[in-house]
Amino acid sequence: MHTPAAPAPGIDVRSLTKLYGDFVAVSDLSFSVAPGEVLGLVGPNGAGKTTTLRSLCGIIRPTSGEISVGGHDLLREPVKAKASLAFIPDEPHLFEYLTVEEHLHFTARVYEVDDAAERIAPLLDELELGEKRRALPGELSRGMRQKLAIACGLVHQPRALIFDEPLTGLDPAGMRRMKATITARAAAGAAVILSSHLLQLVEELCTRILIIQHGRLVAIGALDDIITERPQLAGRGLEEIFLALTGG
Amino acid sequence: MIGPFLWLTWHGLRNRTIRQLRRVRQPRYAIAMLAGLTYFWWIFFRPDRPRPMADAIPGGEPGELLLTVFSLGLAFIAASFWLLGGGKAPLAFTQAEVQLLFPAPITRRQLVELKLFQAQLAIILSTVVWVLLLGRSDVGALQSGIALWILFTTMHLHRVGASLVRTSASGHGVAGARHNRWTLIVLGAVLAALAASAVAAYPSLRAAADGGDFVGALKALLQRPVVAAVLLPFRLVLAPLLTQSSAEWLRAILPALLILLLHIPWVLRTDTAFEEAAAEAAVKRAERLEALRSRRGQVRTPRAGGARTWLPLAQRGRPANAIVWKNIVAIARTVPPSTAGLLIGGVVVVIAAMLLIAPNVHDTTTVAAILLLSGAAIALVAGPLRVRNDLRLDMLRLELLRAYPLSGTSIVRAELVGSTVVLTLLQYVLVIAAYFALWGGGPMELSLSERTAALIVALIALPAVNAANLLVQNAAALLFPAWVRLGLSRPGGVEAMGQAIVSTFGSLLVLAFLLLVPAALGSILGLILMARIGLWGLVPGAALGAALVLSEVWFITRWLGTAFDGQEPVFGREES
Repeated sequence: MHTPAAPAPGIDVRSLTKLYGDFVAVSDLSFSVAPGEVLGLVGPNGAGKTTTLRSLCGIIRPTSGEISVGGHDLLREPVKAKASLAFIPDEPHLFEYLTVEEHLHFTARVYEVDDAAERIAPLLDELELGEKRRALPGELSRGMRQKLAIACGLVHQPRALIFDEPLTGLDPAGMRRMKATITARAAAGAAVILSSHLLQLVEELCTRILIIQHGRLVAIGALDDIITERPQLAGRGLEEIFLALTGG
Repeated sequence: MIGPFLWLTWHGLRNRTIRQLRRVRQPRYAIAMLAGLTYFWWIFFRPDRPRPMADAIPGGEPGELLLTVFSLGLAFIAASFWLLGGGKAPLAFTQAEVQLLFPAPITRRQLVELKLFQAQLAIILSTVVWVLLLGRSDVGALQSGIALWILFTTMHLHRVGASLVRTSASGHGVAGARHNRWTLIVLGAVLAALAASAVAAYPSLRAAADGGDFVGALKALLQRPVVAAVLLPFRLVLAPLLTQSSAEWLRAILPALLILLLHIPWVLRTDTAFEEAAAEAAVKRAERLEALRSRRGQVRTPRAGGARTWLPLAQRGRPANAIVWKNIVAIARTVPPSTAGLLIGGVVVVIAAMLLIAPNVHDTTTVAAILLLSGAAIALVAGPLRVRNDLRLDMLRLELLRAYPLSGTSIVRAELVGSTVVLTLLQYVLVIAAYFALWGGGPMELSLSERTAALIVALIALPAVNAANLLVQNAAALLFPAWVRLGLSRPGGVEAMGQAIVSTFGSLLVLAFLLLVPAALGSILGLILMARIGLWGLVPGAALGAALVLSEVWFITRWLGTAFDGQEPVFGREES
């Protein structure tokens, strides 16, 4: 009898498929992200990246397939799986009536963080939100709102982090700090997925790259491995490889 | 410019209708559609439906009194536009309109025309609803419809004009006020004249309250030249609706139309004033900032203290309770301070007026108790439509909620608890205040013990009824998000009242279905025990009924939680 392998403690995706009526958004996608690894998810517009990310976070239900996060099956144990996960979307979703600090306290309570007060202060400093702690989202710039969404994602020290275009709206200093934050979280043992059209960012931060198109996997692996499997791409950067593989 | 606006409005309406109809392919929407059609038939077309204005409008003095009362009501609604702003900004533009139309070579006046044009969809729909609701037979449906259309359009224009003047005055200070000086002068003159009339009529009103003909004194006040002059435009707009024959209607329609036509240039001119005031204020602000820079080298931050809450969130506890906390904070932060202040001020003014007119303390407290209980009753029926700090607000953030490590059931229950707590607390304050107002006795000749029993029955029953009522609202938002208006705002203005009545009545029907069995069983127990221990027998009956209702809510929320887990978020949906 076949015994399924135990899910990896990071993020493990098996045969993920998502249909919207007759439209195939994601088809039979399988990959895994180990703790400490940063996986770059890239693909042209409409490739199914955001659908994949939303499925991984339990925001939408996959039509079929299995997803485990932090060793918990997302469909069978959604609460445990989500407790070890953070999703930072490209468009920050905030409650317009909660202040910056209240957002963090609220999120900490929802994720059952016992030492919220000790975590929130350094997080506000790390993301340069200290001076805005009593501001409502409506009083924040786009970049500040993005930082707040990121802070909410980090307050419970998740074991799996999913970023969708994390640098949108940030200034150059904010981008630099954000890159350091992502790297630091991965170094601390978090499994990270980073979806972005900024291929330089992906190349700089990611240990492995997953390229999808029309909801299907095109290539996965470290950049060198992708090139090794396709000798004709030797000597090219990620941008050229991406365009060659997706026919752009 | 009307061509592109017509095209935009028509295509927007068509696409929205098609999208909503496509949802009928899903079984739950198909069932809801069938239920909705049956309900509409029952309300509007069933043979034995009540037709409140089917018989001729009374003529003579009763007809005159009706017109005066309605005019007074309309004047109060118009006053609320000036004092409270009339709810959601009547000229609120969508994000798409701001991004696409504001940078386009379109004048601000044309944008206002677009909004006025778009408002006609709701006005025409409401006109049809009201024509069917009133079901008049003495004047034709077309005549009735035209009269209603003039009334709704005039009131909508008045709301827009009032909103623009308020925005201009509050946003641009003296400059804004100067540009709307004629409107403000007329408004000030009306208020001063009304105040003078009230002062002049005070002795006769007070004498009437001490045992004379109070209604007669009130009528005399309404017939004073100044008050009659203020009410005249409202009477003219209402008159075609209350005519008894086609000939009378024909005579009344022209003055009503004139009032409507006078509003159009006023609104458009008010908007021009707004634009000029905005430009002037921008120049002055720039000068002020420059002065600050040269003096101190930096610009002062607009809000030093930031937002604070009186309700702290405990660090530990059930995670779902954080959602209850969030939703209670939402209410405190989303009710405009001006609204809260004006409501409190209004209560103080009413009580002060009562004390002035009827200084007899016993009478005053009885009237106060009646007012408070009426408030509680209104909060019971209309409160669930107004207190929207639950799924109706959070369905717009469904993506965020779905990512939280909480089960659908605990989220749905927490959402329901937030609005139930707020609404119940409001009603508790009102009924407890009424109880103490009647402390020395009341008109119903109930003993203190009996009044205490009635209070306890209310305190037990209110949370259960509220929970059931809010369950209906939240279930609709969760199961039919594409058909339900999400967000804090509801359609405002007189023109939306028809739709509100229809939807409220529908919700009450579902609520009645939920309450039927618990109320029957609770009443039977209460009546049996009442025979032995008097009104106190109703307390166990209320407890049984409340327990049964809360059990229903418990099981239904479990089912709704499953629906929540299976719900696909509507991405990119704006508050509509």
